[in-house]
Amino acid sequence: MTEVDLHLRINGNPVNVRAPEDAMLLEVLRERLHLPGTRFGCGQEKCGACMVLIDGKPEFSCARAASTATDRDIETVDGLPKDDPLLVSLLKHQAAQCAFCLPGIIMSAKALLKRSSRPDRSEVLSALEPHLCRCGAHQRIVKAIMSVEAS
Amino acid sequence: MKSPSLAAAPLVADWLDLSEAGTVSIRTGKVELGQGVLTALVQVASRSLGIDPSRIKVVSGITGATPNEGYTAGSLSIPHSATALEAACDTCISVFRADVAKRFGLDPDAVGLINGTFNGPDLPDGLSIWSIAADIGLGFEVGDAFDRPLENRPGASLPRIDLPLKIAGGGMIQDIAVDDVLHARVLRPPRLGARVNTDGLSESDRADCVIEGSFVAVVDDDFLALARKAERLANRLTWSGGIELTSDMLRPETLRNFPHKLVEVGEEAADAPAGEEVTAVYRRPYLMHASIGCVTALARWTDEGNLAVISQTQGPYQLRSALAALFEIEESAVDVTHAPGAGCYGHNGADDVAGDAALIARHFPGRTVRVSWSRAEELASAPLSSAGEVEISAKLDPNGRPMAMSLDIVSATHARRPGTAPSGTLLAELQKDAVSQLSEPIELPALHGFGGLRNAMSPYAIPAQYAKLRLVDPPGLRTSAMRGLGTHLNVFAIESFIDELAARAGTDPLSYRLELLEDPRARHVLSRVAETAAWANRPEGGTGEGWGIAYSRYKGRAAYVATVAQVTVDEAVRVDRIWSCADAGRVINMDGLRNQIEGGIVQSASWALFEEVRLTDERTLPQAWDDYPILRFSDLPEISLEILEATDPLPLGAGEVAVGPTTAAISNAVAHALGVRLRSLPFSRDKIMTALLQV
Repeated sequence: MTEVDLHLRINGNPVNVRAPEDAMLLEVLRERLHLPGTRFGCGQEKCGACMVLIDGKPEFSCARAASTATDRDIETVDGLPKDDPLLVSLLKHQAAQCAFCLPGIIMSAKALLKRSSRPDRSEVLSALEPHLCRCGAHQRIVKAIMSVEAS
Repeated sequence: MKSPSLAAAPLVADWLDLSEAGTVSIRTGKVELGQGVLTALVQVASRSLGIDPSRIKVVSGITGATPNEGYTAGSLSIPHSATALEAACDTCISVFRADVAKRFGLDPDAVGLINGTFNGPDLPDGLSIWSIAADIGLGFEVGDAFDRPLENRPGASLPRIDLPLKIAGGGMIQDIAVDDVLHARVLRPPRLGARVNTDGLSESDRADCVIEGSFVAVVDDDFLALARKAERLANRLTWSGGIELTSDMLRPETLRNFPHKLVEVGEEAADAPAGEEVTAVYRRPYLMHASIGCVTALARWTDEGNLAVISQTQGPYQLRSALAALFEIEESAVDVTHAPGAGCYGHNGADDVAGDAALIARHFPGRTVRVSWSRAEELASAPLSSAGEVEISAKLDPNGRPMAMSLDIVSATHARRPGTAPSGTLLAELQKDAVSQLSEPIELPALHGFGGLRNAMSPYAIPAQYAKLRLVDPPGLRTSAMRGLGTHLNVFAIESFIDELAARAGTDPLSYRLELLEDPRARHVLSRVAETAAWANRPEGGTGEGWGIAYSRYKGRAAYVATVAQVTVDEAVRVDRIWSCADAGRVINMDGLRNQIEGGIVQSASWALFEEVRLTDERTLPQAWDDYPILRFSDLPEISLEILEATDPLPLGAGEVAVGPTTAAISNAVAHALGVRLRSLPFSRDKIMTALLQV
């Protein structure tokens, strides 16, 4: 297995990391950089648990080679401050059950809120379409995203 | 009534630890699965002891350290664990207060308690629950809980104690970092009972493997290297034998072809009453747990042969017994500690992955082995929830009301968890021995609310009711517990059938139900949900828009739930709105209760519309989300939920109560929209298209 040096910019910080040349971005985040927030759900870009932002756009990280994300801005849930208005709203609405799906959903919601500070229900539903939640916390998650207070 | 949880943990010391001044540790055998149980327990202890919740720590699901309360399952955590903990806290306070009163010659009522500190006339400073505990200990028996005024105040909900960490991307078993961890992945057989041939493995391949019988696992210090190696080595194995699945075997229609064991409830009417007989058959396919996360476990053996496991199991003690049996060691040599994972709705792969990790770790004493399943394993290797078929027959009186009703149910078992059989409940063992014949299927007894027979007795005042379960054992399919067990199929069937009877009688389905329901709490939830959903404005049927109503009381003894669904049907079913009303008795944490019922509604809607285990390539269980679609955000109905004021001091349990009535209400709404009754789940696009051709 050939390991290569990757230069990544994660949550504003430049990092150099060695990883197999075919390593997926999620693998590098979790297993090399020990940023546990981004979740492995399927490895097939089908559930959204691994969603990160790359240059501000939601992208699956589980089946995307890390080498394609060098010199781009990668944002993960680990980089959000505790008082981030979206996190505050999710807690206020107790918008989770197991919460495994949330870090990915949060990243998609961050991108949405950047485009639309007061999204309506259909905007939220369509932004969350790549995501699966099995506990059925959907309605709370949607309401929490719709009612994020502008910071 | 004393909580059954107190039987194995009768002392206050089993539930409380006051050894650290200023904080209270509570102990529970129940575990956090995302349902918020630990928060509810902190709230109970906080209220009873008068201690701020921030000073209460929870110790949960650790063998040897917490009470053995069985599985965290069956909507029983609040009814059993919260009531036991509350009684323990109340007993502690009353014993301590009496002790203080006696020592200082006071009336116990004159002894005050604020945030753990006693106060009263002439009491010295610093007299606290901690100082008294240090003096007299907690080794006294748990008595009765205090009588409390009933209150179901939403403001009284303590926010989830575990959510801040989890929302920010932490707190999961997958996040536990261990130095010197050895990662492992099991190479799975393509079907149950297949034997492996490892001739294709080179010597160096073998050095990276643990092989016991047909159990083959790959190990590596580096998780990234492991994933690649596992893929490579999997292609070098060949498998033979085992049970080939066919698409036909998964159809609920074929269940009746298997030999069965008969279990009955109620009395078959000796003299069948005269009257018109109506019969209908309802079916449900096999379902999957389909959690979003993949189950994970860590295991480590000491040189002395002791095993420590960290697991997301629902039953740490039951897993411990299964591990001890598998390795033929004393239970006392095994420690199981619970750690939270992604949502768990029954017997999924959580115990299996712990068995995998323990079996592999035995080859590396002193090292922690971590196994995290792949998505393919998460879907195809975990137990399934059984398909089922119910034939309902009723004899009607001249007014079209049932005088006798009987259910003939056929289903595989809902109970193959560790503890249900002496061996063979962990996948690692089944794979190692290439077992194709699983443990004898069992039906849970009435005490546990049955399995396939759960909710088979209708709640309606029908003079003669009878149900029989033909418990079958379809080869090659490992079925076990998933949310609600048989309640989903049985409530779907009974509530659909009642609607059909109402239609025959030319009566509104709400009025028809109310005529047949005697329990005032049942009538109340139905009437309330009809009112909030404006049932009186229900449109004419057959227009593509449908309203349906359904009622059930889970297990006949948990919360009462009535539900109205509004759907639109064109080429597919869209659930637009769900109204639900529940009476769950005394509520501990109102928001937690609501969250559980909302989640049950969404999950049930997903089962009703989308879910069905079908073979890919005609022989493989689904291994990817594309092969097992579930409800997506765009399918989300608007949900309105009302929880009634408590009239009952007992908490009734609510985690699973919504799954039956939600699917049933959708079924009735679909029938109303189409003017044609569909009796087989799911109400998929294919089924709708077929039905539309018949209209």
